[in-house]
Amino acid sequence: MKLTIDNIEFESDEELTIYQAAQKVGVDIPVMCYKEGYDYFTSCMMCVVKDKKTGRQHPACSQQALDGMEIDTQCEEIREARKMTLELLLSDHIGDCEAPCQRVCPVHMEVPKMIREIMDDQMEDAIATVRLDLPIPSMLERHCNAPCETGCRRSKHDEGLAIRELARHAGDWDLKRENPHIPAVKESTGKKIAIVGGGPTGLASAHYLAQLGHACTVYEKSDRIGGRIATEFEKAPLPDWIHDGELKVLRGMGIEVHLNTEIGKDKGLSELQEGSDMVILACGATDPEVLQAMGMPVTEKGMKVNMKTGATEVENVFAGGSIVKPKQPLIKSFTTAKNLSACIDEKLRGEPMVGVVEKYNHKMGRLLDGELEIFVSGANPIGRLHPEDIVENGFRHDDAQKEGERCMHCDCRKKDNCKLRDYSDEYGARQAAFNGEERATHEHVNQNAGAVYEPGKCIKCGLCVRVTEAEGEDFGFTFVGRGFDLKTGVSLNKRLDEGLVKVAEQVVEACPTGALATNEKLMPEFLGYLPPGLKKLPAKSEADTEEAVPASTEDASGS
Amino acid sequence: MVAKIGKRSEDLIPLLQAIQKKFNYLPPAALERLCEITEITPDAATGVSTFYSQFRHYPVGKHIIQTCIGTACHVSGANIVDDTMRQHLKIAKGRHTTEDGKFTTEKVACLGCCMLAPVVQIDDVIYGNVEPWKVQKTITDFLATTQKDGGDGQDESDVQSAMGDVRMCVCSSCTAGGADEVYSELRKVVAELGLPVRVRTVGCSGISFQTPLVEVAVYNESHYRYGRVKVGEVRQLLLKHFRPANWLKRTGARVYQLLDDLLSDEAWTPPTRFSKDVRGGDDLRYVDSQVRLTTEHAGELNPVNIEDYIAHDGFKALEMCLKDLTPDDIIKTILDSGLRGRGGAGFPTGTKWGFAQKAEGDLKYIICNGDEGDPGAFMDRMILESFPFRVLEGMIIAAYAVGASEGYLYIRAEYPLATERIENAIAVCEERGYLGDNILGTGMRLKLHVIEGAGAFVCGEETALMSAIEGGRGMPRFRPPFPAQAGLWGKPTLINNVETLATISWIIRNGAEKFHAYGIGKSRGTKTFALAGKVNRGGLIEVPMGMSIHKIVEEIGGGIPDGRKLKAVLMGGPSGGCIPARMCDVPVDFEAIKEVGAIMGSGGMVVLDDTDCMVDIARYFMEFTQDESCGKCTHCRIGTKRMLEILTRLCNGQGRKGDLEKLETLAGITVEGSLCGLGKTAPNPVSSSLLYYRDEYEAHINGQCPSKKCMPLIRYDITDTCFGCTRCSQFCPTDAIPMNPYHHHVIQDELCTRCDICLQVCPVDAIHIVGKDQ
Repeated sequence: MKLTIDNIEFESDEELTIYQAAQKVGVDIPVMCYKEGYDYFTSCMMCVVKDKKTGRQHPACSQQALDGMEIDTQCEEIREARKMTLELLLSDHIGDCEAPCQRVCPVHMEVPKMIREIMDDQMEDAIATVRLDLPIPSMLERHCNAPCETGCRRSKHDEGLAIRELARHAGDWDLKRENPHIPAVKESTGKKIAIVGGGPTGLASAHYLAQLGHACTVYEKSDRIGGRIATEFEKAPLPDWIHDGELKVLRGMGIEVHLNTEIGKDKGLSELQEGSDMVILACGATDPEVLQAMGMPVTEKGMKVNMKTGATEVENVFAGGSIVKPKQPLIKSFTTAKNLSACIDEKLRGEPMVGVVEKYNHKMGRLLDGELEIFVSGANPIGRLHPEDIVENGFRHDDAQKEGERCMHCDCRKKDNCKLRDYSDEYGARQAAFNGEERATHEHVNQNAGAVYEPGKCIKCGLCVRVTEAEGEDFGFTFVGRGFDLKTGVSLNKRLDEGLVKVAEQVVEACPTGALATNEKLMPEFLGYLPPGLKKLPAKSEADTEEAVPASTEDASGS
Repeated sequence: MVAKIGKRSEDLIPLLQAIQKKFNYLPPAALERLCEITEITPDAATGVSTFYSQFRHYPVGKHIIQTCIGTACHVSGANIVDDTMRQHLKIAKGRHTTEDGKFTTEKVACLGCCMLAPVVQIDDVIYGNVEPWKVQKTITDFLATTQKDGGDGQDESDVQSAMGDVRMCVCSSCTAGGADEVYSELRKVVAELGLPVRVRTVGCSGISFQTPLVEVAVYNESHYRYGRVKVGEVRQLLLKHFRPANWLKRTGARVYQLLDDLLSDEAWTPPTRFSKDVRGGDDLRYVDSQVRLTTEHAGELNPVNIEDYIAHDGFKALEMCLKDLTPDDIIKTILDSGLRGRGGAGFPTGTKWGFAQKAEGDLKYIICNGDEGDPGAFMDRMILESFPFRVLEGMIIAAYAVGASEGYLYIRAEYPLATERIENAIAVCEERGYLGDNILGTGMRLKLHVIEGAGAFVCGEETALMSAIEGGRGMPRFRPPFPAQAGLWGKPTLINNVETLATISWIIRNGAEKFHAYGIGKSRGTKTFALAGKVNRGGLIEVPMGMSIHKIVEEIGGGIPDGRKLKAVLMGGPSGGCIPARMCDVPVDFEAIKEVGAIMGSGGMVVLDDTDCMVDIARYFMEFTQDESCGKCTHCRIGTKRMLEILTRLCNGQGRKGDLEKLETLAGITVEGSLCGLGKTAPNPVSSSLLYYRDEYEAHINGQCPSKKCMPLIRYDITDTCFGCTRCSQFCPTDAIPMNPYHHHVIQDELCTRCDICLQVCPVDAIHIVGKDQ
């Protein structure tokens, strides 16, 4: 047989599916319900491709590659079909990719991960998680207005977690060490960036751009870094060890910091422009006259800046922070810096400037009755802890860990390893395109099995059914019911730990979404939760009554 | 149980059926035990038992009331019947069983008695024409009557020197119309008076609208048909044609007749009467514009008597095939005849046989697809019940042609009589050498099994059907490989529909040319239809291809009842579309019907009048397919649900701007993204009604139902014609009409459930339906 796949010619005597043939010529076709080593099932329809010769669409995972086919895997029609497939699946998907705290965090720090690392006493990991997205944490977290704590889902139950204090705890822990954690930087791009101002915007920009491999130099007119953080909060002056520690980390990332250097006085702006590829003005609220003197065009309102990119009207000069808009919350400076850095990076690579683009993020929306309880039941029920010494030291380590146990793990356990999310991102699928009238209730099954099961995230691809069957589980996964109410579940209503005796790991690996994820921790004492209905099941005598049968099977019986 | 049925994985469905028969549901403990003592795995037990709608997982009441929600029943108000039933039995919302555990109510896809809509089955008794106001009566009647014995098969009051036959059909729909009682009465009276008559059960004539139908054939004289015969009329009917054998009985009879005439107000006049030998008259067209090939000898053949079948050319075709024709000859004949699959898709039967014949394999299977899923169709049921031997003959010929040695008949769970008659027919055929290891002494072998379905529309799809026979969930799989290459248990398999197989023997006996002479274009021969809905004379009809829909509705169906206007004809059920009245001159032809946006389908033809709402019909079908979707493909599972949600809110007057466009998008992607026919055709009813009745959809967005059907958009109102007879008030099940003798009555809208009873019982037609805000 001889055919073309995306115009690449392919010839073989073997019997192959289109997907297999595409693999051989290096064309990647998205699949969800198919996994090598198991039979094809042809249910998700993500792998559709078009035969240009006949104009027909085929599921690549099941359709044999036939002589003369002219397969197109990426045309607009196919991309649109896949997008709609994803949008249908998303309309029946319950859960959050990222936790609400991370979503509302202006710099998108992965809060829940940090909390779990603190809980697990993995402080090195915790500070790495923090510093990945949040520059100078110990400086910021003394004064951040902490939108994350308002966003924290636990606040609907009692109080949000002390996220700011936990991040500060990680930061302080780090800075108290001889050698604090230095965030990884990419290979040098050879590009130079001059940053005017060592305040939050300037330092954060330097941090983000250094991570991307650019050589940054910060010019600060005073003898200390921190800008607003150092000057605006007189009641809580920044301890020297924090100032010095954060400076050490920045310098450790390769950032040059020149203190006592005022641009326009000690050094001219034009000098910076000549000596570097990009200039960022982040010197705080500045008199328009001074700006004008520096050679920047100004209007009555101040400097003209493109709010989406941070670019000024002067080529290769960007600006952000109080110089553009004063009196913003501190963390806003970081948001600006992150976006501006992304734009500068793009510009340096000759690409259009789009700034920070967030990955597809599924949202659960308003919780239904009973759902908050499901989340709460997975966490430590104690009330919020408060550090005894708020000014100097913050949380004691054991209190930080205990506070961490209050986290309800709202984020998806497989958010970084979910085909549904990755493809939704790739194809620009929208969650609300085919919104249903009402969504089903979130369920979370953690029965001390090797995996956690969240049926609301299942796309009914049946891989768990095929895996448990192939591996000979006694009470493997099976399809339950049919139609829209189709579910996957353990046979004969057995518990999850009875269904996944041998293959929890394989099943988690095979599941293309977050429906089945590794149970990172078997149940501690306070996790006493069982989903409704299951509490009554194990006793056989009770199982004979109508109430004892879970809703799923009752629905399917065609009543 | 296991010893009797078997312990292999393919025995799972029969085992579950046996468990349910015993407990009325599937107790979890029984399922666990089943897995312990058989080869059945727990995942199969759970997966399969939750897939088929027949299986219950919760205990039920002593008696089970099943309200048919097939298409014809739906347009006749099945939902109101169910609501009224639940109200009457005081079953709370979300529950199914009465407090005392006496009754459980369920809805059932289709009982195949569409002409008697609305239909309700209580245990084994089927009641036809159960309008909401008859609900109470029906339950009372059920409780009053004791279980009767079937009487099927043990007929033939063989009378020496008989002077004639009295023939009667007691198939499922005739029984629903009361045929059982009339039949017992016939036998009773014949025995009592010693009439020289043979009382015979025969296959259904298909004249369902006249059920119970009694045909009197006086030897060497004429045939008479009496429709809608009541038990009390049997004696007179018989005496009209036959005289009692001896004097004493004669006198008795006369006295009885005299007395009877004296006691009743009016002299007896026969109900609707047909006479086969008299030409002319309106009713005759029902019979005469039809051409009966597949249903040849309808109303004459005894369905359970092989002798009778043989006497009517039965097995002649089989003998011709086995003795004179090669498989190639047969396939050529079928090809030349132009026969196309009657299940709906219309694939040329001869070509399909050719594929199966050429497929290599030591073992080949043949399957008869009797999983008639369209909830408005009953052709297959009637054919299986009335012509079981003809179906088997077709199957044996097909098996011979393709080289199959084992076969299955997969019959819907809702058709117990069909299953029983086929099982009997198989046993008789084995005894007589038409089936077995040495068929007609030629050495051909064929073993046939009957598999009773368990309630899943999708099993009409061939790969799903095979999965069901194998004891699995009826989930379709990707084709190719096609069944002809790798079908049942991976072996080459031929699957044909009941009607297709029942047509084979006629073609062989009469030749391809004769069959081909009927029809037009690429649609040759005849096609049976289940004509139902808003039509005067419905039933199983068989017409030559090419006849216009209009002619079928007007001439055969006798037009629309109650002086209403024809609105549209639904063809193809949940997979089909609507043909608006103005386009009904379209001929019965696969291609022509597809062109107007419907499909030929398996033969369901439901007639709608101007009181039917197209949005409601679309919602009805979507609810059906959504419920019947196996749930495998993303588009079918979620797409149909989203479409149903939109249609439901339209019917509730909560439509939104952009809903129609969204419907169109969803319809498009569901067709494209579904694996099997169910999903691929599920959007058809929506698409075709959107095409022709978009204005009705738009009216719904504006909160109006032009046909005054959608309950949230209407209210009941009493006009000035009301003279205060209080009848409506007496019948109202929710006390929404305060009693006010001699005065104009008023309906309290907040209590009204729109059950329609008041409108039906009002003697002066003072109650009418108006728009919600009118």
